[in-house]
Amino acid sequence: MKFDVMAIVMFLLRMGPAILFVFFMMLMFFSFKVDVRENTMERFVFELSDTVTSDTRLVADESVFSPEKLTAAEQAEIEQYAQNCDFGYQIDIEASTGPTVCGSDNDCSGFCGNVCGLTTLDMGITGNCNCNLEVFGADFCECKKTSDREWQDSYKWRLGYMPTSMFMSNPIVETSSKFPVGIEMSDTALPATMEITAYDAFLTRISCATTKAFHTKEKFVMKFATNQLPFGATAFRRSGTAGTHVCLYNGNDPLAGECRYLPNIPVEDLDILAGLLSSARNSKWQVTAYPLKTSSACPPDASAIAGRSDTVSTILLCMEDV
Amino acid sequence: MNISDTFWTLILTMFVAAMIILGTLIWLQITLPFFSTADPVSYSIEFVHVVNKPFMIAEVLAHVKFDDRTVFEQSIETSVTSLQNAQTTGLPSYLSSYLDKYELREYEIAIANGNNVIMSVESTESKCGDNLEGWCSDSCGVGRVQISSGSYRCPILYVPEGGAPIEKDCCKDDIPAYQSLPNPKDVRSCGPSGQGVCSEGKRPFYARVYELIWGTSWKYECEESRVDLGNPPECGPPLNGGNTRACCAPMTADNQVDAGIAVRAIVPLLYKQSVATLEVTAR
Repeated sequence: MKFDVMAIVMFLLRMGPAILFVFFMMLMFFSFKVDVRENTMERFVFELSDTVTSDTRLVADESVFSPEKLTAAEQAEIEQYAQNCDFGYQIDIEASTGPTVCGSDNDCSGFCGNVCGLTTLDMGITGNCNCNLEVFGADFCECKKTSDREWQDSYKWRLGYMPTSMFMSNPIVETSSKFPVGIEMSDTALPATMEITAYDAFLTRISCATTKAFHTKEKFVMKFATNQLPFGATAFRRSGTAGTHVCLYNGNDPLAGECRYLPNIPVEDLDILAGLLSSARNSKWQVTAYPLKTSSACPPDASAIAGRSDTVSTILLCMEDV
Repeated sequence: MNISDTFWTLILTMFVAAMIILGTLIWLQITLPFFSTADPVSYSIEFVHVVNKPFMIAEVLAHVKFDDRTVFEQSIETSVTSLQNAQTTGLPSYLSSYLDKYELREYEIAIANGNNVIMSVESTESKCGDNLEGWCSDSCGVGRVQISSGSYRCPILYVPEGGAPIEKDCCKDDIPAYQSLPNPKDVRSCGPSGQGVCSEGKRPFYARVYELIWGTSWKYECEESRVDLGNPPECGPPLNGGNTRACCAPMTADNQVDAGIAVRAIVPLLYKQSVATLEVTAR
């Protein structure tokens, strides 16, 4: 065979451009960016603000909250009023007025009754109603709604889902917005600020996957990393005897703040710790929520999974590494 | 070797070389931070933010009582008669102190009867001057003049060693006064209804380099406390040698609403044949 240098050079010259052309097209392809920002959480917060400020179980008039109704709602569950499957939320409502000046504890009885809803007053620093003495500035009234709550010197309510393990990677995402509202006071309204914080966290995702699987009769997959688990969470199961909530548990105790209102959806317990220990080196996981018509273990038999025309008897959560 | 082979190979090589150069430039634009503002190969969709604050404020005001009369009652009486005849001279200061508690960036409340504004209060946070006629800003730009801060002072920028504190400039929108300054720039109106003037805006040091390389204009932003109306062609060269490309309007409530950075809730105030409005603008 004759070794033709020119032919080789020509071959390379022809192939080279072709390869470069392919590279160029790849560059163009990967350079093209589609940037779609749905702002789902932000829009949820604004939509929720409209819902909350027009719910007559909370307001006296549009955007004007009733202190009595808010105090009652604090004892209840805010997701009874408005719920979004994907996100949990917390609402903080606080009057923008300054503190109430006082000369003695007795000056604060009206304040404590109104602000903290106290019917039985225990005056003084060890009680639930107090005139706080200031070294500089005027003394002001403060009260405690319950003995385990902190002192407050203005109208203040906190409602909703409150994840406590904020110092970890949990929640996965959060966003908040403030809204101008009023608090009904005799025949006028005090200026107040309502802050809504939405959370996309492990608990909201797993509870939402459970809900969707139950209502749509289709399996739902939720992926997560180990560091997105709230610190100390070892299990996910229905709580208490009333069973209206699902919670993350550490052993036998529910994690503070990690419960969500989810009545009438039967769900099997998920042993998160056992799942984690099954593949200790792994850091990425998925939980699959299966709608079952008859009971089964993980992974469920195809015959046990509910179809369109079946009644879902329970939701089975199976955890596996990715 | 066939001459045709060499010819087409050279053509192909030149074509690919051109594409390599083009690709390198695209790569530079994507990679270097100061070029990323004008990515030519991207497609962006962002859903419009919902704005409901002015409406919520109007709803709250419907419930607020001041001096034994609700704000709406006082507003209706004011719109039918006047502040003095309705005995509502305290209404502006009451509304101002009430809305200040919300810590909004900007707000304005006005009672208007057609084009006749009977009463108006607005936020004073960024304002300055004895009669709040100025705006605190890093620099005044074209169409504004620096005035004394007066009783409403601007924030301090820094305190030099052993010297007096340096505050932000207090700038008043006053085109005739600007034109009487030494060496003023040419003033040209701009914006959809001519509410703005072409100004220098903020000019980063690498803007010129960007323009030289890409042949397109840098996106100039307005000076602080002005409504940015973009970089329209009427502000481009030859006006002031291309140094006043930003179209900037005074920071009034109307201009902010027109520019889409604030929203206005309008509440009708009806009394017999009189139709007035309570207008709440906020952002």
